[in-house]
Amino acid sequence: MKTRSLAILFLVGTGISGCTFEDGKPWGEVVFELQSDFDRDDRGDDWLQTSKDYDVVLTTLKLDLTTIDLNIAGEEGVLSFDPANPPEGYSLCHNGHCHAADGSLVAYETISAELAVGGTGETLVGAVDATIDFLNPSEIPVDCGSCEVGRGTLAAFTMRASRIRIEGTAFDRRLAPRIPEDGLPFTIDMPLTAEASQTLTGEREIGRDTPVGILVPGYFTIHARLLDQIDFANLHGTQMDLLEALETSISIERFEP
Amino acid sequence: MKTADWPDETEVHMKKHLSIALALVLGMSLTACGDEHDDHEDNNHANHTNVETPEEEACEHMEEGPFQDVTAAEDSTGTLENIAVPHTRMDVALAGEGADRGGVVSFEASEAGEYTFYLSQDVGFELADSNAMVLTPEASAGPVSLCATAILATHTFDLQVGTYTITMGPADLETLAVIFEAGEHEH
Repeated sequence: MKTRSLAILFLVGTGISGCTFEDGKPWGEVVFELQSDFDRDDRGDDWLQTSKDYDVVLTTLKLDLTTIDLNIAGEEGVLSFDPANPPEGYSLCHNGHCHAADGSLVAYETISAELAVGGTGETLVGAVDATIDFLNPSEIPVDCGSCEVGRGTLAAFTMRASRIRIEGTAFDRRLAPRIPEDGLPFTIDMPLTAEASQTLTGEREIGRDTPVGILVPGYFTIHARLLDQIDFANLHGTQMDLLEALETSISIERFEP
Repeated sequence: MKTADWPDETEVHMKKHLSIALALVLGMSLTACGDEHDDHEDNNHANHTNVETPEEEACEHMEEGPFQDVTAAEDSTGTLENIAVPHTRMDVALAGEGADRGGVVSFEASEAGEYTFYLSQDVGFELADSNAMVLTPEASAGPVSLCATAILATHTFDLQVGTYTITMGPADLETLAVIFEAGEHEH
């Protein structure tokens, strides 16, 4: 009798452990295929116009990336917010963005990502720790270990940067130039705490009936409007908001390894 | 070479989020395979875009904000406040006294294209590039029918990427509310 009970317990136990343990496969296995990119925003090919009336010839635009995370919400973690009832810290949501308390406009996707990151679930942390060139688009290496994730819903993607380096030469378009007429060579090399998130869409579910392979392709794009934030006549007074000029375009594709 | 070498504590803040430590995978895996959760109904409204006309946008922001106060300079020789803040009603405090109030602000256009300025009062509104060349509006009109008491004048200009000065007045008005909407962009 005791033996039969143990047998039943064993069978129940193996049943609970689920199919992932039976065949040795994880619920999901992530593969990153990420690239850097630079968008000139139709401001010229070699000389980039800025809204402060400068022309800039860029020679370097690099970011030190530290980590890239994937947040997997628990199965009950459906991410949502109603623009008619903006989440705390926001007001007046419409046309794809909400007004933050500081007056900035924040896209619905970013707000959803915030909610996701703050939710309960698992986070796959991918280490990058590399300097990424944005003028010469390159692949971004991500070390996520086994890259295995549990079941749930792929929710958000977060990228963190720790330093930016911009080099080039600036020219003044004004008749009364504010910097040397033959151009001002410059270097901006500064640490930063930068964190950009994006809500994920597409085949987000990770479960028994979904492919194990999770390909995460995408681009990190810095727009030329980043240069609008720089007054080359007063470099040390420049304040930069990288998020305003950084676009993440991440998608999900599923496959059977 | 001029170098901007910020101190280490300098930080460029993007959006700050809470991070979550790596959670237990095992716990999630123990749930049975057969109880597959129903497909989540995507309640995320992120992609729900209410298509609004520029006039609807302008009326909404003129009446509901958000609002930002700026002060116009008496002339264009000093530092000018930039009113190119999207989707925000800029309440421009005019300089001077009485019926001669007016002033100058700047507008940094980040994209080439059509820009329409919506004004709370029909007052003088002159836009010039950074070399003081005055631009002729592509179009000007009176009150916007959707909010005829809130927006009394509009002016549309074709702008390039760059900084412009806007001279307002004279008017017997302490504050002029201004909203801009970017229209068709050049490509």
